[in-house]
Amino acid sequence: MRTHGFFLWSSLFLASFSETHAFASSASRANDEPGAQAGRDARLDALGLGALADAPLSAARAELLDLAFAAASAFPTNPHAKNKARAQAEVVDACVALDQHARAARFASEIDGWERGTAYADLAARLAERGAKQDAQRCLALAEVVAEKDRTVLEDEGGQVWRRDRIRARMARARLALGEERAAAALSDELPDAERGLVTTEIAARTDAADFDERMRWVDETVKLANFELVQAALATCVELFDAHYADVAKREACETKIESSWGKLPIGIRVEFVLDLGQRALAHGDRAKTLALASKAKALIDGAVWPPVLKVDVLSRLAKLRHRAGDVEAGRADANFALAYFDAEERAIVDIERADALRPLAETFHVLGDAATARKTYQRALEAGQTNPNARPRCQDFVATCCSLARIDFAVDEELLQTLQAIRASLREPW
Amino acid sequence: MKKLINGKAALLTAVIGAGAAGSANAAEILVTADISTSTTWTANNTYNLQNQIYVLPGATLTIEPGTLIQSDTGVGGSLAVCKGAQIFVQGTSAKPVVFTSKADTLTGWHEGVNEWGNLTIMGAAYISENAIATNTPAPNAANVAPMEGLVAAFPGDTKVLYGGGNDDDDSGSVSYASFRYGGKVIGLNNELNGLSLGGIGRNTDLHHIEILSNVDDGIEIWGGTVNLKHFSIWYVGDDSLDIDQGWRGKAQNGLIVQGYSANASQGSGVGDNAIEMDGAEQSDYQPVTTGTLYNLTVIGQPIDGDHGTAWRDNCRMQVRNSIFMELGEELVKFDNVDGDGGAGYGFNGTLSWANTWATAYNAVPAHGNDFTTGTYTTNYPAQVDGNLAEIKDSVFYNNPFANAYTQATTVGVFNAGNNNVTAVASPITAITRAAPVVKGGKTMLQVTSLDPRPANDAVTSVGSAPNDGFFTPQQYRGAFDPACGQTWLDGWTATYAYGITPTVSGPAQYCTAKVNSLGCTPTVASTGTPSVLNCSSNAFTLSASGLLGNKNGLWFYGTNGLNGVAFQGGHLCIKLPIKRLNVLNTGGQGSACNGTLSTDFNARICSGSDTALVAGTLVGTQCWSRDPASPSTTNLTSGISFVICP
Repeated sequence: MRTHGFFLWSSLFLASFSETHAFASSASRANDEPGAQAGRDARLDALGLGALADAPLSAARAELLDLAFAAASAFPTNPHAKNKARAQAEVVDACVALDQHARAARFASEIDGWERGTAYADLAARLAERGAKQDAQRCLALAEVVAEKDRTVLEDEGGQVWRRDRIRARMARARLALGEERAAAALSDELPDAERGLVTTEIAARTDAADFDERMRWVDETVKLANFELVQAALATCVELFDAHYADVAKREACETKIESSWGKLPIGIRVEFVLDLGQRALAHGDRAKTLALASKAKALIDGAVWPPVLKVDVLSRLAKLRHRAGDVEAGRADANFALAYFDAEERAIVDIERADALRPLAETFHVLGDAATARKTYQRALEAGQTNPNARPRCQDFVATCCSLARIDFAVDEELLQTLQAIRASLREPW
Repeated sequence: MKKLINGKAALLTAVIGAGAAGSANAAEILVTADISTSTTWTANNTYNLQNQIYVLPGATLTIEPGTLIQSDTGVGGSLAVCKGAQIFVQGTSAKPVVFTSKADTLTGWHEGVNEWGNLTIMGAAYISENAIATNTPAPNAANVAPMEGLVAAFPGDTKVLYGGGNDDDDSGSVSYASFRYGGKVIGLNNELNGLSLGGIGRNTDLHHIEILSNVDDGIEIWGGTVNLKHFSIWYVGDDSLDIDQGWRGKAQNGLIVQGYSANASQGSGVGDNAIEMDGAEQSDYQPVTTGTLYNLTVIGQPIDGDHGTAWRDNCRMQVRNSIFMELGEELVKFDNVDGDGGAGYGFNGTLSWANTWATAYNAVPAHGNDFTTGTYTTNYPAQVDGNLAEIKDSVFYNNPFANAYTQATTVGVFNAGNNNVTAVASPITAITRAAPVVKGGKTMLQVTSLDPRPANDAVTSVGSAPNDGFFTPQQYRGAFDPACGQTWLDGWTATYAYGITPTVSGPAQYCTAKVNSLGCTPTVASTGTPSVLNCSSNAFTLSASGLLGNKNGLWFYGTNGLNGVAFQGGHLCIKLPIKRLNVLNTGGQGSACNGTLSTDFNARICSGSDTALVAGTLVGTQCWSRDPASPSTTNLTSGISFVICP
């Protein structure tokens, strides 16, 4: 329910990150806690990451991240160790996306679960992309410790191989970002097909023109194999090749054709996500006409299928954003309005713990559309909907997700909304 | 004390005879309302389910170690965890969580089922189901199904639905839980399984689960990706382990003992298939069941039992390092269709029965409904080598049915490379059956005593499970380690409490204790199982009592063999070198023999500080303490020896 897909991530990454200082004074208070800074530095020093620094970020967004992590950390370990680690890792994801390297490392170090490994590995990849190779190597070493030795990965009955493999896949991606293809390949070779796709798509994103045909041959062969995980990687590879060779019309059309000819009876949601992702790639290349064409294709797929209401609002929100960004403001607006009306009509049929999952992407969309008032109102609704359940676990999960959403898109949080957030944070207590 | 939960009434009464779970004089809580607010059931109470109780979305039910959930017989109390809710059953080997009925004495088995309901858990992982008109043959987050045995309060009631699009879903964890005498019948063909798992994601942790005497299946899994380790299923009235709707997981260390739970027809009182496996609700739907089962011990009913493994609707399953013995019918039964409308292997372009056994795990021909890509990263992670369907490295014994191996032979189970053995000597250590009785028209030979540890051809295997973080590499066939006298059944199961699977050779006292200066002879004892698995959550406690009060002392141990040589006026019970644990104070008063010293040896194992402490190692332990008035100023207890279990 809370993992609507990697395309959601992509759309969030494309959001505006302009700075605001809506509640800097409040954030400053949070950062002025006695001894807090010294403690944080000492922790990073102990990890060998004392040189890490955060990119400039408004105090407001920093406070949102800190608020989210504090909430995530409030989960009682018994019985919620897994929920706690997942929520903490979600905040680390946001920190990494916002280049809050020191904050991400600090938060990651506090995760008592296998997600600490993926957090370090993701940070390593980001640091590598930013040229901080030494710190990236140190993060990779920390990730490796979790993957190979940490009790939350391997000890007891709770040890599950996929957790270790997932860390290794993220490590392989970081190795690629460091330019260590051989090390990445060595890691990747040990992965089951199920987890190898992450590495394969990363390789595709780095493919130059000379390698295109080779990659496409691999895609062809892989699709024929019909091994589920490998085919997944193959089509994701096509998206990356579509992006990497966008200027070459023949190549990118070949990629698009390959995806559409290979999806067979794929679930409609997955088809839509592929099309929306292609649209985002086209938009990133400034090709508005192509983006709108792909958006229309996505709309037809959406209209022709049965959806769980939460997922339908989510995909409609993303469609609206895409159309708006591609210049079709009216259509984007209409899609967003329709999504909101659809949510209103279906709200009572949606389980209370899922309503905020629908409203949050919608609020982000209105923000992108420039409709600050509706975005504000929708965020407020998301916060309220996320607090309906009598139990702190789902409320905390929604709160963390909403704080991260606000921080990622740089929403100007006003004093009233801030007070709402702080009140919610304070209310997260028994019963969990 | 008896109370109505939610405070509507408070009727007070005493509860007696809690046995392994619960405690004498505990309060009895009548559970009458759905759980919408997260709740902890504590071991100082017993809980009595009065009707179908739901843990509603967002809520978490935590059940402490040692808690007894003992419901009134026949009122239909049952527990279901909705999608979006979580349950944490936190039993331990010494303090299991027991779900049973008031008819359970907790000390002996009785014939009976339907005395209460079951535990049903519903999650949001992918399933393949065709009963709901809007469900698609291809995997879809919108595909859901109503849970068998639950009744919707109104059309579209989401409370009874499972399935979704999150294979990483987390419904919580269940460990050291014993479910007995359940399966309340709702309607024909709509019984409750001992443990029902619908669309459960891989972040859910399930291990050490016992089902005994359920009316329907023991454990049934519909779709999802959850893994399962250490499960024991006895005397259930239908299939012992039933898999359906596209389960994509792994399981290891399972004991299945077939028999009867009631004098009713096969399927509702007399055991049916040991393992029944459906690929999908319809054969060409996706996901399709694709899994791996390692280290099973399957003991059937030799006269009127059913099949060892029944295969339907495109199921792909690897069974390895296992024992199948005394089956009533076929080892491999090509059931093909499931009677619920499924069209069987080969339908609509899917693999044929024969080809399923001949096709490598990673060479499945394309099919339009296959998982091909998506927001999930793992679709069929359970199989990593071999063919889609296979039985390997296993031993078959005393399967008397004339066609026991006919289909197995056809699909190549006995090909040389599969390393299977048709044994002439029993592959388990000991089994005792009761005299034949007719139940539900079938002649049953109920197992009354069992030492399931492997013997003869099962003691060693050719291969072992991969060391992949879930599976434990075990170089034997069947569910139990031949080197460990205490099996993983000890301490927490009904069969242990009833004396059906007693400890065979647990920790033993040896050597001679020294009489201290006050004339007292200290004694030693142990509780729990020395074990590598779960060493952090299950204690193996060594305790010495009768020591001088308020003195320092310590436990020490060795792994170089046992001893009994004279030493400091007593005996040194361990061959050198010895290793010391932490110095502790005995407590009590210095002028009396009221001191004690206890230590959790599993904590030592778990610490990793001594690499010699691995499964199979013989350990000798002894307690040393100060005795200033003794010529040596010391005292020594007798020894405790044990072999560390996996």
